[in-house]
Amino acid sequence: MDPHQANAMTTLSLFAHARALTAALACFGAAAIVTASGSTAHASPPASKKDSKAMTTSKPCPKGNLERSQCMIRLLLDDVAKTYDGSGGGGISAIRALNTTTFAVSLPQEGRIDVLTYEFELHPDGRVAIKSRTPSTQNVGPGTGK
Amino acid sequence: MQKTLNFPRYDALLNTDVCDARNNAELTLTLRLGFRQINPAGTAAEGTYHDYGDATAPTRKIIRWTPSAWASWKHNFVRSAQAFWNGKFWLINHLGYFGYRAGRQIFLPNIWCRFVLQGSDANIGSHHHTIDVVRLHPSENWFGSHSTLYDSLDTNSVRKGTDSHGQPIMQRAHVHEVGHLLGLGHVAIGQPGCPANGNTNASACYGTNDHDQYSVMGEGMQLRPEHAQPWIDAMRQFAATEPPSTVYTIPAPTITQLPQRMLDMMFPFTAVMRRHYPRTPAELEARQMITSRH
Ligand SMILES: [Zn+2]
Repeated sequence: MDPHQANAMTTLSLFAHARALTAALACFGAAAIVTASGSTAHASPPASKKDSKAMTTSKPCPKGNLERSQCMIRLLLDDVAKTYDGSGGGGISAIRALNTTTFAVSLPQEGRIDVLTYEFELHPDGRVAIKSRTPSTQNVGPGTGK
Repeated sequence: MQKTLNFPRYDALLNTDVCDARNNAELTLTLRLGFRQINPAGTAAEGTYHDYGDATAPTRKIIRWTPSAWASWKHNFVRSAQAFWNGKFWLINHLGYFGYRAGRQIFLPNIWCRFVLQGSDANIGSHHHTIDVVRLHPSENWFGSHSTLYDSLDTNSVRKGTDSHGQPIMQRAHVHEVGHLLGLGHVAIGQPGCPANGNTNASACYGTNDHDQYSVMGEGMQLRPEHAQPWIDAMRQFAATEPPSTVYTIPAPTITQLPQRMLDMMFPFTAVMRRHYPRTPAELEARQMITSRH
């Protein structure tokens, strides 16, 4: 819970209305990521201020599940290096396959875990490309973050 | 007058006894923290502890607290966090509350915002908040901490982000955390990427431009007038509950003064980060700000 909200005084309701309006406008302005393939993915709040950089990452990959997943993870790692400002955090704590073509990378920070979910597309010529990167945040601990 | 109000997050003491022609009223917020050691299991000197205290998260190496390391860490935490937040804000008293006489002149005080942080072991006394603390092994440089779980490095200045010029943004985590304990949220709540009704810990909430990122409630160490909100909240309670001054009541507004008066009634105290001296009724009614007085 946002402690500032919890502590808000009724007399500041004018600000609260303005804040709610801003929040509503923010929903309409949700971040969108344009990918190498030209498709567009809508995303929750950006986990990186460099998210606006277009991703140009794709690789020709050998057939076979091991090689293909290695390819996707390499693309993901290159993209994280280019786009995520993790200077303050604990590095990567997990890379997990959510399905055949989707991986989530967890980047612990103080008071939260940034999660970047990468969706890949497989082209008939064997090339693998990032289709979308969706940032989200996982809360940790009680109450507010650090 | 010295009056204390107890809030869930802190105690607030308003002292008008110190008021004179040059000295404002003082509002002291006192935060009582109880610290609790996290040590390796059994009697081992070394062990591990999970990030965030979450068994599914990675472990970091920890070492046992010694009495001297524990005392030193607590002392450093309390001293530096108190120094950071104490005496940085003044609240402009727009409606002339708590007027007093100094000699033959009536003065209307502004409010100097003071801060006292009291830290002791969690099992001694009563506290507004209880905090667990791990002591990291020298080989570790990071631990996943949260609002009630700190680590021994939290008082160090560490890089929290990067500005638009590629420069590191440094922060001492404990001063940011004390801001939360006082009730402050992250800097960019309500802005795109950080809706107030969403996850206010999302990375965008720490700021997406240099100005916000350098805020202490972002990734940096800068204080801003908006960080005086806990003192403003307390003052509004004092103004609402204390009897009015016997020496001064602000005159009813003229028609032209009405819009400003309505604003002042909505926001009777606003924060500045420079000393503003007590005002005479004429100065207050003319909305003069007195930043030097000889
Ligand atoms: Zn925080």
